[in-house]
Amino acid sequence: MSENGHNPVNGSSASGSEMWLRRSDEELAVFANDLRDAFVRPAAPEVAERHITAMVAEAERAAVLGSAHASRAPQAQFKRPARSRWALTARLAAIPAAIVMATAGLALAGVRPPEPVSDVLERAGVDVPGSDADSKQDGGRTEDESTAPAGEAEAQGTEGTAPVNESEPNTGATPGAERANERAAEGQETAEQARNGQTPPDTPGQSGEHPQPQGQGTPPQDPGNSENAGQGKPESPPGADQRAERGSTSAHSNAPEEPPKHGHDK
Amino acid sequence: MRPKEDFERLLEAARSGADSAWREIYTSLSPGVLGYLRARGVSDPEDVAGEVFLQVVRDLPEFRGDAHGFRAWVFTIAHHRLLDERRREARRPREHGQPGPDELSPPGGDVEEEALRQLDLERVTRILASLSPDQRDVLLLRIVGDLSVEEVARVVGKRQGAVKQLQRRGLAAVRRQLVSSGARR
Repeated sequence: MSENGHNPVNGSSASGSEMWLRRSDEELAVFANDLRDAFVRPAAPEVAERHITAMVAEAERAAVLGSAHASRAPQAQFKRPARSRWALTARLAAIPAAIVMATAGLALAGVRPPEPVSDVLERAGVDVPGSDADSKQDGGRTEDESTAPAGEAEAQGTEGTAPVNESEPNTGATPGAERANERAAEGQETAEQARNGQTPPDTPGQSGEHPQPQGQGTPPQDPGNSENAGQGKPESPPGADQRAERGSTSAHSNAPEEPPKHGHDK
Repeated sequence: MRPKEDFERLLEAARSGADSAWREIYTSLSPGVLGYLRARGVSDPEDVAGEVFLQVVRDLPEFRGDAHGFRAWVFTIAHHRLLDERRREARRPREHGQPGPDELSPPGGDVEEEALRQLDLERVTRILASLSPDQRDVLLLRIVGDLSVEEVARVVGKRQGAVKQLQRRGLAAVRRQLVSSGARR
């Protein structure tokens, strides 16, 4: 107890509970008094002494442990943010690494990622397998890499896409339509070159062994129409002249006129 | 000196392990804690009260608040110990049921006074037994623990509205019992 007789632990007086009971019912207030009289009484003196002794011993032990803990506390406070910062950095670094690895995995598998993803990657300057940039690069390398067997290339030209000379899988009708348009234009170039005698039709490794001549597939009537673009019927080319003629026709009818390119002749 | 400063000084002394501080805390709070445990039918209330106060000593560094909060905090520990004890008793064969009149009656010399006390105790015990456990908890914490509705809500882990409802229904049940037994004094 404090000096003024007030019990600092009993913040409210014992009559506090009677106040709300008296307001409601006097009988209940009597019951409350009976309840208190029946149960509320101190422990036996020897029990109380035992409890207090145990409490003081525990408090001394806690005080010793508390001081030891307090001396260690600054280290803990210092270490914890460092650990969490490292974990955050590791997590942040894992995100681009995962993206790169996923993209590399797709590239190795030769899978073209979905269109929105590939668009974003192309915009960011990342070469995506089967992308437009890749197609153009492949188109430039046509004569170098045109030794693939025709059957293989035909097998890749599934889903009605106009067969091409690129050895890449066709993954969908819409990209296929775009590629068909490109290839129609390339077919036109080839036809022009054939007419000009720049590309001898029977040169080994070029037209004769070309898996599928450029412009072979029936190009779409409307270059932007993917439905038409997917209707090209793949055929094995009977000869370079026919291919050139067909490519020329189709190119003339559907693809814009382009000047003949001579840059990729060997 | 203001009571708040008294209380803070008392807690500071207790934290440093002052015997007098702990004695004061125990003397002030143990009758209510023991009363709550007895009224809830704990088989060995003094043993459980000893555990409660040891827990108070261990957790005191984490306590923040005033005297009201401290009282409610001690009763929260007591309530949790009571629940632990109940679980323990449920697992083992029950040796002691609701404390009988012999266990609850204090040693006294006057036979007549002792008999009256015994009657009161039986009556009160019977009325308490008619309440649901939640109603009993709320009324005992309000009356024996002398806690406010807000403090009782914190102790039992319920909303204040729920505590008020339990109190209202509990008091109604007590009133019915008092009327039916004609126990007006």
